[in-house]
Amino acid sequence: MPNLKTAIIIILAVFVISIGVFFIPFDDILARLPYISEFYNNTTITITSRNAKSEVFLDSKSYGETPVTISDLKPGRYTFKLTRITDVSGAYEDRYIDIDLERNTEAVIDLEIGPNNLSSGYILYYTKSPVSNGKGYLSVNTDPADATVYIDGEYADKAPINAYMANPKSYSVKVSKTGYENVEFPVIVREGYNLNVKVNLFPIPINIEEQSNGE
Amino acid sequence: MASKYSEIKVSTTVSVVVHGGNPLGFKLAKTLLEQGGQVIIVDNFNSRSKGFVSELKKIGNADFIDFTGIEALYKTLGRIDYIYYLLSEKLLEHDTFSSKDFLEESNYLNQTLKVAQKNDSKVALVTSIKLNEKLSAHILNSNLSAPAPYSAIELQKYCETLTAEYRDKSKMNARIIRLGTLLGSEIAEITDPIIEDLLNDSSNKGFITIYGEGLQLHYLINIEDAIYGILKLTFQNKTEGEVISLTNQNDYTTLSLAYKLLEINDDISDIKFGPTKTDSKYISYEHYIPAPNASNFGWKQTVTLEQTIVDTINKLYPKTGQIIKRKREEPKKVEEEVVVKVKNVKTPLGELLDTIARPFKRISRSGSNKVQKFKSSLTPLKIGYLSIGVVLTTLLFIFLLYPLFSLGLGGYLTYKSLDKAKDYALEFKLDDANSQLVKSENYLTKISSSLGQLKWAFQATGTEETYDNFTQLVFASQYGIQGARDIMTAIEPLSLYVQNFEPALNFQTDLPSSSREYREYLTQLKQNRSLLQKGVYNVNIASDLIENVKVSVFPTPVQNYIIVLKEYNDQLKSQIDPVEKVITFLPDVLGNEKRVRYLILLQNPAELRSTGGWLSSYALISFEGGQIRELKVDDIYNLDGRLINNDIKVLPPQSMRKALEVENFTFSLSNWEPDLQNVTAINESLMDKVDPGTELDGTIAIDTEVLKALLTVWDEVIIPGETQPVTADNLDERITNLHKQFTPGESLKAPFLANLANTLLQRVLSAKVEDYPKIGTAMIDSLNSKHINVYLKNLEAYDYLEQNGWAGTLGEKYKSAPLTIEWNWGANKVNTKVERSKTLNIDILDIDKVDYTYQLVLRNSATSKVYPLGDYTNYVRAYLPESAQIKSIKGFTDTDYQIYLENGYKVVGGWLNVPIQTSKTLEIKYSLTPESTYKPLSVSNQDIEFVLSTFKQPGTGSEDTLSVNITYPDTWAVIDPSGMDNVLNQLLTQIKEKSDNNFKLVWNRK
Repeated sequence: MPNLKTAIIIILAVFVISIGVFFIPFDDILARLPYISEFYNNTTITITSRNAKSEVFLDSKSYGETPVTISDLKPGRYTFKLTRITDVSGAYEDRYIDIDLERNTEAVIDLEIGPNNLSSGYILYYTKSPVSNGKGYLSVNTDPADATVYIDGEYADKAPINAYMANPKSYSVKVSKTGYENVEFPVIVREGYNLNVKVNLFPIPINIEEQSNGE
Repeated sequence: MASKYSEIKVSTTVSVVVHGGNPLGFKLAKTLLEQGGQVIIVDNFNSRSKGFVSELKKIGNADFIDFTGIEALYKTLGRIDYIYYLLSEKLLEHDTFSSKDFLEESNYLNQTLKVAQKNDSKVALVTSIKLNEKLSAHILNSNLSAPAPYSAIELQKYCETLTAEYRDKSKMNARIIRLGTLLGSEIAEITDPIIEDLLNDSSNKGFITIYGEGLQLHYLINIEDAIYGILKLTFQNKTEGEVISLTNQNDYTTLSLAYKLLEINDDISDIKFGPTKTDSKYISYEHYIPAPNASNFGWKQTVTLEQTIVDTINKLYPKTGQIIKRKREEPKKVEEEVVVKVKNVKTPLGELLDTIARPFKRISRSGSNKVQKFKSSLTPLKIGYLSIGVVLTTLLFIFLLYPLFSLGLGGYLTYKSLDKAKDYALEFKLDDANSQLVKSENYLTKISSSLGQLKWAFQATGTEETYDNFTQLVFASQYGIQGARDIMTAIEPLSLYVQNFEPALNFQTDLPSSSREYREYLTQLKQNRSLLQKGVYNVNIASDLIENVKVSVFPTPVQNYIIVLKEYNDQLKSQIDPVEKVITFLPDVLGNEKRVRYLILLQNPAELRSTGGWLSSYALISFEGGQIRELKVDDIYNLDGRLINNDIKVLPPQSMRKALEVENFTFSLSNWEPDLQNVTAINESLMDKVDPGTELDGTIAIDTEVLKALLTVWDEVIIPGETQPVTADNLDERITNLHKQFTPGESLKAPFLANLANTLLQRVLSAKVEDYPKIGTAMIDSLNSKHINVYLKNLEAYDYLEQNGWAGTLGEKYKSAPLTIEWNWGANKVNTKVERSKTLNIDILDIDKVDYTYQLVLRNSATSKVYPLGDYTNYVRAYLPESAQIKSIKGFTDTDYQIYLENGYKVVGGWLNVPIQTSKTLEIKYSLTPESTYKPLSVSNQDIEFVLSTFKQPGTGSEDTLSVNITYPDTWAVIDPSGMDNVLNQLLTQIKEKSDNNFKLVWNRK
C-alpha cells in the first residue's frame, strides 16, 4: 500500500509539475527580468536602400534616413514603413514590410523603392526551426516569381525555394530573371534556423535610344 | 485451588494478567472484573502488588499468584479465555537483566504460551514501542553499539519472536501489542526519560530544557485509552497474528510537547536548548516506522493529549497540577463562549473549505516535522547521494517525462485550437480565430523544444527517421500557423469592410442614405499587402514541408492528425492564392484613391450576341472610398433613344456595316466586338456623346444565368411590385413576357430588373456567413462558365481576371486555336435550341509548321418558327492568327464570306443560317508556317511546349462539345499530355465546353 501511495504521489507530482512547465510562459517572464532581458531583447535589424534614400518608420516613429540599424528589439512581428525621399511628390508609394524577428538574430532589409509598386533588393530574416542533423534551412521567394536562384554561383532552382536544407555557413545568393536586373547578396545559414529571403527584381528599363539606333 | 477454579461458571470469562502487579495491570484487571470476569494476576509478590490485589478483591473475583506458582496455576486452571502478558511493565523496570532473569522471563512466557495453546486462549503480548524503536536504531545506525545480550531490548525481541513462532506453528490466537508511553492520572511513573524531564522542568524550574533539537518522536497514550485498546485488540479475531502499535495516532516531538506544556502551564517562561544527550536512555531513531496503529483495527483515542498531560502533572506534580487546574477553569467559560460564537459565525462554505483543508493542514504539520527530522539526519554522504538523486530525477524529468507529457498535451491542444480557429475563420470571427492560432503557436513552440529534448530517445531506439519526420511536421505546422495568422491579420480589414458595408444607394433611389466611406479599411488592406504576401509565403513553405512528411512512420492516431493538418493547409493555400491577388487591386477598384465608374451590361443569352447575348438593360455603378456613390439601372433602348433624340450618329466598324448593313452605332449593338475591352471603349465613346465627360473604368457583362445562380442560393425572392416570387425557374419566362410588352420609352422591364438586382444585392450584403460559400460558388461558377465577364482598366485587376479567363477579352493566347463568334440577327430567342459541336484537328508537322482543320456544326432543334423560336439567323466570325494561311473555307450560306484583319486577328465572317430542325457545318483549314509571326509552339531547354487555349463564346450552351485531335511528329515523345489521351502520335480529347480550356502539352525529341 505505501508503495502504491508513493507511486501515485510521484505520478501526480510529475503531472502537476509538467502542467506548470507547459503553461507557464518562462520566456516571457525571463524577457521582463532586469539584466536577463538584455539577452532576450537583442534582435537587430539593418535597413538600407540601394541607389536612393528612404525614411524608416516603425509604429509611426521615424528612425531617420537609411542606412538605419535598430537594436535591442524584442522578438515578434514588426511592420516597417519605408518612404522614399524624393522631390517628386506622389511618384513613389510607401512600402510596408512585415517581418518576424527571432531572438538573437539579425534581419536585413536592403530595398530600392521604385515607381508603380516596383522595388529592387532583398529582405532577410530568420525563423527558428527544429534542430535536425546540425543543418539549417534556406528559403527564397521572389517577385516576380519563377526567377532563377544561384547559390555560390551554382544553379539551385527556380524560385520559390522552400526550406532547402543547407550546411550552416556563408553563401552568396544570386537571383536572375530574363528582363529583370540581377540581385546578388551574401547570406549566412544558421543551424536551427530557416533563413527567409525575399527578393524583389526591377524590370530592365527599355532603352528607346538604342532601339531606334538599332533600327 | 483446584476445586476453586473448577467451580467457575462457563459464562464467566477467565483472564490471566501476567505482570499485572502495576498500575496498567491493576487498571486492566479492574475493568475485567467490572465486566464480571474471573481475573488472576501473576506477578512478583511485593508491597505494591499486594496493595493492588487487595483493591481488586473488593471489586470481584480476583486472585494473585506469584511467579513461583505459575506452573501450578496453569496446571490447575481448567480454562483460560484470555491471557494478557504485560511484558512492557517488566521491561521498562530495567535496561538490562541478569541472565537468570532473562531465562526466567522467557520460561514464564513459554509456559504461558503452551497453556494458551492448550486452552485455545486469546493471547495479548504487550510490549513497548519505545524498545522496538531502540532496537531499530541499533540495527540501522552503525554508530550505536549492539544492545547488551540481556537487555530489555533483547528480551522484548526474544519474547515477540517466541510468540510469533507459537502463532505460526500452532495458529494460536495471539497478537503482539506494542504500547506507547503511558501517561495519565493513574500511572506511578513516566517511563520515557525525556517526557519525565519535560514535566519535571515544567513543574519545578519555570523553564523547559530540550537537549538537542528536540525532534525525537514520542509515542504517548493515556492509560485509559491503553486499557480500552488492549481489551479491544485482544477481543477481536481480526488482530490475530498482527503486530499492532497502541499509541496516539499523532507523532509528538519533544519540541511540540514543550510548546504544548508552554500552552498549558503559564508559569513556564521559556524553552532552552542544551547539548544532545548521548545516554542510551535518550536513543531514538528518526526513521523508525512503528507497526500499524491500533486505529486501523477500530481503536480510537478518547483522551486528548492536553488532558493526558494535565492529568499526568496532577498525578505526579500535584502542586503544579492544582495551579494549572485553577487557571484552566477560570477562562474556560469565556473560551467556550468564544468557541460557540466562532462556530456559529462559520458559514457553510467556510465549513466546507475547512473540511477540504483539514487533511492538508495535517500533512503540512506532519510535513514540517518530517522536514525537521530530515534536516537533522543529513550527513555529507547522504547529501551526496541526495544530490545525485536530485540530478538524475531532474534529468529524467527534463529529458523524458516532461517532453512526453508535452508532446501529448501539446499535440492535443494544438489540434483543438486549430479546429476552433478554422470554425471561427469560417464564421468571419477573425479575432477569435487569431487568438486560437496564437495559442496553437505557443503549444507548438513547447512541442518543438520537447522534441529536441527527446532526440536522444529516438536515436537510442533507432527511430531517427520518425524524429526527422516529426521535426519536419512541427516545422511545417509552425510555418502554417504563422502564415494563417498573417493572413487573418492581413484580411481583417476586408472582413470588417464586408461586415460593415451599408450601401448609400440602391437601385430604387437616387438619394444617398449614408455618407459613410470605408477608406480606412481599404487603405489598411493595401498596407497589409506585404503581410498577406508573407502569410502566403509561410503557407507555401508549410505545404512543401508537410508534403514531404512520411505519414507512415507515425503511430495511427498521429497519422490522422497529420492528414487533417495537410487538409487544413491545402484548403488555406487554395483559398488564399486568389485572395492574395485580389487584395492587391481591390482597394483601387473600390475607389480608394479616386472615384471609379463601371458599366454593367445585362445580356440575354437566348438571343446570342458576341459578348454573351442581346443587350437589354444596363446599369452604372460608381464607387468612392469603398462606398457606392452612383447606382442606376435602365433599359438600353432608352439610352439608344437619347442618341436618336440628340441626332447623334456614330459610324459602326466596317465589319459590322458589311455584316449587318447598319449605318449607325447604338448602345444595344455595342457588343458587336467580342472583346470586352473594345466594348468598353465603344460604350465610353457613345456615353461621352450623350453625357460629355463620361469615363468608364470597366465593364461587367452579365447574363440572366447569373441572376438565376444567385436565386438558387435563396430558392426565391419577393420583389416590389410583383405578386409572385421570382425563382431561377421562372426568371426567363418573366423577362420574355416583359420583352413582348416593351416599347421604347415605357418602363416595365427596367424597374423589374432594378428591383430584382436591388433585392439580390440586399440579400448578398445581408447574407449569413454560412451563405457566403454558396454565393461565392455561384459567382465563381458564373465567371468560369462566362456568364459574367469583367473587364477592368486597372492593370493588376485586368491581369488577374485575364489569367483566369474572366476578362472577356481576346488575348494573345487564344490564337493557339481558332475561335468563332456568333451573332443572332433573327430577332428571336432560339439560341436555347441551338446545339454546337466543334472539332479541331491540329497537325503539328514541326515546331514552326502546324496545319489546322476546324469544324463548327450547328443544329437548330427548334420545332416552331413562332417567336421566341424560329430559324437561327446567324452571322459567324472565325478568328484566326493574323499570319494564318487559309487553305479552304466551306459551309457559309451562299458560300459568301469576307476575310479581314481586325484587332490582331485574321477574321473570316459570313452567314451560317440554320433553319429549324436542320444542321449546318462550317469548316476552315489553315496553316501556320515558319514565316508566320505567331508561333504556337515554343522550345524551353529540351522541352517542346504547346499551350492550347480554346475560347468559349459567352452565352453558348454548357452542353456543347469540343473534340481536339492533335497529331505530332513520330520523332517526338509526350512528356505531359495535359489530360489528353495519347494514341500512337496523336493526342485526343472530347469535352463539354462549359468554359475556356487550356492544355499545356509538352514533348521532347526521341
